[in-house]
Amino acid sequence: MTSLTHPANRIRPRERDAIIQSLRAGVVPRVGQRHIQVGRADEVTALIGDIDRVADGGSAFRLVIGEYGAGKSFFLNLVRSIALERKLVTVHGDLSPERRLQSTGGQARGLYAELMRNLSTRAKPDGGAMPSVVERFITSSLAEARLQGGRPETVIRQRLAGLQEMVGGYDFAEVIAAYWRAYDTGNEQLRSDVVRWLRGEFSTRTDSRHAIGVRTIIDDRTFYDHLKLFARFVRYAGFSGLLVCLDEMVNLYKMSHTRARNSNYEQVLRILNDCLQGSASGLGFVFGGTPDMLLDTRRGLYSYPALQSRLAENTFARKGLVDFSGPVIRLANLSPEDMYVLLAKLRHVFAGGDPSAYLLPDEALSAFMDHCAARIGDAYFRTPRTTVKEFVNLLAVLEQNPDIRWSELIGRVEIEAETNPDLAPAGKGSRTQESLLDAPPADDNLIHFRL
Amino acid sequence: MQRWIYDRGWTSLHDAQERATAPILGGKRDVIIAAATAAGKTEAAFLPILSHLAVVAEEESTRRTGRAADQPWAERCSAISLGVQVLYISPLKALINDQYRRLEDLCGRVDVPLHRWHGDVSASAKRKLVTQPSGLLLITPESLEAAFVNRGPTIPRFFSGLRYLVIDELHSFLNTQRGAQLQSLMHRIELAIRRRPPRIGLSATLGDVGRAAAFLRPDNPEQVSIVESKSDGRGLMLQLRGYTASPDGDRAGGESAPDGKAVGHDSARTGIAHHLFDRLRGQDNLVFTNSRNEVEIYSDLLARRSERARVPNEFRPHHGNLSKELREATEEQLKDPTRPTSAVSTSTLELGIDIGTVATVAQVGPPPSVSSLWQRLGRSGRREDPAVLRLYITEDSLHPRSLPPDILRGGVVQTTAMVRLMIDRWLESSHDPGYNYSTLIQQVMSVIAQHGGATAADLYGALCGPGPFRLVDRERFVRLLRAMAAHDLLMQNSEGLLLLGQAGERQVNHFRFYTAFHTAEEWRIVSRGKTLGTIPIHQPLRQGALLIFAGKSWMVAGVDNSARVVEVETSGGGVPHFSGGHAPAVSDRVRAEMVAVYRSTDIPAWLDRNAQQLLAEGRTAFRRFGLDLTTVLAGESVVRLFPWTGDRALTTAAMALSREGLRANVEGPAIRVENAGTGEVAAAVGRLLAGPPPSPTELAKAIKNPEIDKWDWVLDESLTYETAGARLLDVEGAWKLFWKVAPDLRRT
Repeated sequence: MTSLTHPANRIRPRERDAIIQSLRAGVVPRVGQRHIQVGRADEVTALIGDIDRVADGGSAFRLVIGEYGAGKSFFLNLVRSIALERKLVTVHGDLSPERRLQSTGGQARGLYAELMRNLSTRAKPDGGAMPSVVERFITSSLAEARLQGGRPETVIRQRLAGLQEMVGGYDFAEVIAAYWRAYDTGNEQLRSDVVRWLRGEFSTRTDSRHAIGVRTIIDDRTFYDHLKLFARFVRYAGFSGLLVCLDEMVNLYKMSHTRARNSNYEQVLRILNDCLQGSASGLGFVFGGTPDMLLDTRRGLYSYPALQSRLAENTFARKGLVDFSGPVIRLANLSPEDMYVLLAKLRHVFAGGDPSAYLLPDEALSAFMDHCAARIGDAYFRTPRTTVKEFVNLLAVLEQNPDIRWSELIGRVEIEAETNPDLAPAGKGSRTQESLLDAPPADDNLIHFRL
Repeated sequence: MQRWIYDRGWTSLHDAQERATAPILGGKRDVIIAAATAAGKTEAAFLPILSHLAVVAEEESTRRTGRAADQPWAERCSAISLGVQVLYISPLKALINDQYRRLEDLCGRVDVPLHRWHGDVSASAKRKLVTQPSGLLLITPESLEAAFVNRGPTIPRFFSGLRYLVIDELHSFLNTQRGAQLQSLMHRIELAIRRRPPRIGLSATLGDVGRAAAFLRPDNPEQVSIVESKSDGRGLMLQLRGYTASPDGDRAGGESAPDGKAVGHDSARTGIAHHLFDRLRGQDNLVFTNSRNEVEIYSDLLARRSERARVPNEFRPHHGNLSKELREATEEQLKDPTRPTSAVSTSTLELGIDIGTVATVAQVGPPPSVSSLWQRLGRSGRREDPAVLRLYITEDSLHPRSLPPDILRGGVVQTTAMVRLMIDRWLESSHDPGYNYSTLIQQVMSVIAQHGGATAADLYGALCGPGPFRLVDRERFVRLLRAMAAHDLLMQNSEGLLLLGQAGERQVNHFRFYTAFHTAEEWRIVSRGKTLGTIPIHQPLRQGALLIFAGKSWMVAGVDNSARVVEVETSGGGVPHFSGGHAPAVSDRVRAEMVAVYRSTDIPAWLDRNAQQLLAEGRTAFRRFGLDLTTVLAGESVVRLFPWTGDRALTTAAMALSREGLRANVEGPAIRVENAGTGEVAAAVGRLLAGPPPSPTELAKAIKNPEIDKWDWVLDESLTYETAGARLLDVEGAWKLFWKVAPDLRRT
């Protein structure tokens, strides 16, 4: 344990600030996840296996299931950063009421656009890598053309021949060819139009035809087909595959329109079938969702019978026995030891990796954990998010007020359940000038309400 | 703006238009503009609103010209696509279409885009508006509800630039489920945008504008500026025609008909039908009757009359039992300006008929309430034309066995009283204590659909707490949620988030969900397995209580709420023709006005000769029974009490007396106690007055049909009786009634 609580490596200030700012805002840091990763070694190993399979031209499908704040998003980000290291291209996005897997009102296209905006490679881990992926394909084609002595356009078309057998492949190849033309003639407008097309940002066919001369666009109907196309394309461009990370699957579960929800589940089924039967190549999916989203037989994934039978967990894997090969991975709760290590790592990050700059002694970590346990019970093991946030806040206060003692502060740490800000009575927490209405007195009766 | 006014050829603004300008332009306070129809309310609200928008747009553009002077076109676009700026809510689609035409030109002048949104607007127009919300939007409450349910996440952006909320026909929302829905929707818009844009209410002139203010801004009615115009607007043409039905009938053709009332009524009905035929042909009209049966009879009479006269039949039936296609065909025909059409309809379906103004509104039988007279008046008369209201009342001709309520000519007197109150600009106030569980259930589901789930605490804060359902406390709210979960309308996930259950989803996914009100179905009356017919029932039913139907009086043997069936057995006793029991409760004020009508000698000019005659008969009978001096009328083994209070107090008193072992029933304006003398009644009243009054909830347990509103079936037992007791009963009024009759009983 001592070796874990005192990692020797120092942390760059830029990385440190990014991590701390993200954690204070309750979101997952984009960089430096490895500095604060604890536990879950088996789960990570399982996902690394998936990534390797995708890199070998296979496919993968995983549902990462955990409670709110259990660290799903963190886990997904970690997986993503590993995938980038293994030369995969990753796309990631959160589902929301406006971004779904299947829709008729532009929400699926919205999700596609979001995913493609977040397209990342090892060189560009923060998204926006679409032009560089296409560019890389073009330059490698040029190199090949020089080698073979053919015309670059012919070489490009030859290399893309494999796409044409797929749905929408012909037009996709046309679009890439248009990029080459733009590249060749120095037509910046066309170049950016092609990137916009690939990101799914054209909303009408007419616009697409005028801009690129291609009559189809990426729309709600072709959402998944284009992901498959793109997965093959990145392999042509010299990457090992495409990993799609979709978080906040709970938004599908919350949809109140039965038919729309079921058609989204149908899309999940289609993806699952393709991935597990191996008909998709070089493509992996990782979904993040809550247990309800999976298990609820009235409106969760289990409400769709075909999904239920495919996603059913291994009945032998219980009471300490584990099976990480099924499509569903459950994020185990952090143990108190894990939690302790996590707090120690946070302290380490906060100090910039310098043990002499620690703001708290070891006993303060235990005291903090005891305090949280007393306030919200063992829920804090299940949902590290709030605990982490408060701990970082505590460190921030200690840093700026060096004369205050930590033991005075710990007793004042407040940890509360989260509520929907849109439904709070206007005036409470609203930033308008006039205070609108008085907030009702807090009453446990409703907060802990059970039907 | 001035140019537009000049183009109209207006030399000066109306009274209301002038006075409304300052408070609306200020943009800080809520405003109610109360004026008669055609007094220019719409312009009074929209001239200042649009000027305000124009000024704001101007300021915006001058502020930005520095930055984007070279792109004037793009500049203007950005200024107007900041979300919907003015939301106009109207109860009728037809009214929206009408306003759309009126505002088109005005909005065009100031470059404010104008949109309308209701059931008949194409989906593509709606989609376009959702992607680029702007300008002035005309919408119905139901469409607004649908937008919340189906496009929940876009709502905050959609309304982000909202500056004004305009509610047309404000008076028609008062005291209704639909009004509660509207209040909730307005509140939810404010929650979504975290601001409170001023609300502007346009209303007919009411006696008590304070109530409209309380409706418009329930938590702060004092700050609402009220602009009341006394100018008359347009006139009202009114006639009340009386008819007398002979007891034997001309042909006595009704013997076999299930509706035994047909006996002796044929002559009166034919007379009414003839008059309708003569006066209404050639225009669009609405004819209201009090039951479906009557709708059928009158449409048939009018169809036959048209056939005899060899002219196309312009009269179409319209009620809930007709297929949707037939009803829609009637509505289409009414909207078609080239084909004059009159719809013959039941009062219960009034809200469901979505057509614009008509030439004449006719009411056959006593109107259900003064507020419904108001509603109907609003529908008559186009623009500058006077409104035309025709009332047709039938009374039985008298014979030796006639009952006092008939002899008193209750129908004519009650209608006269109601019309007098209407002329005094009075209308009924709400009895509802404001729990409004039915609409709350709808709103809970709607909020959940909007946000994809909500916690109980959030729901309470959004809807009850300081919101539109403020009278519902936490304990009741939790009970309501549990009742909803029991019907699978709600479910809860492991984090405590409330989501729609499977039944709830089915409800929400159906377009019927968007309406808060119920187009009340009629009840089927069944005796020994044989269906006698259907009637609307608004009064509480009790085991053993009397029900007047088909010219006979029946005893209620059982009530099936979900199937809407009343099982009856025959019972002896005479039958007053004027039962009144099929209409919604007559209020205290109307009954008090009836006494005033009886006591006065003034004969309104709007009564026809026959009606004057009937009124005179009623007044004579009133004095003959001595009802000007006492409230008790004792007959052989029957005691009648005439306390002249509203139906809620009457019903409550009858129920209380029944608990004391008397056979007491409400008979028109009276309580009738059978097989008892005044002594027994006096003793029972004395016992009741000696003890403490029972709680309404306790008394309500005897009511067999407590589910009234759309969602009442969801409520658990305690909430059901609580709300039924609060709505249908008036214990305080009943006890006042007892104090009033007690001395008279002792004297007799």
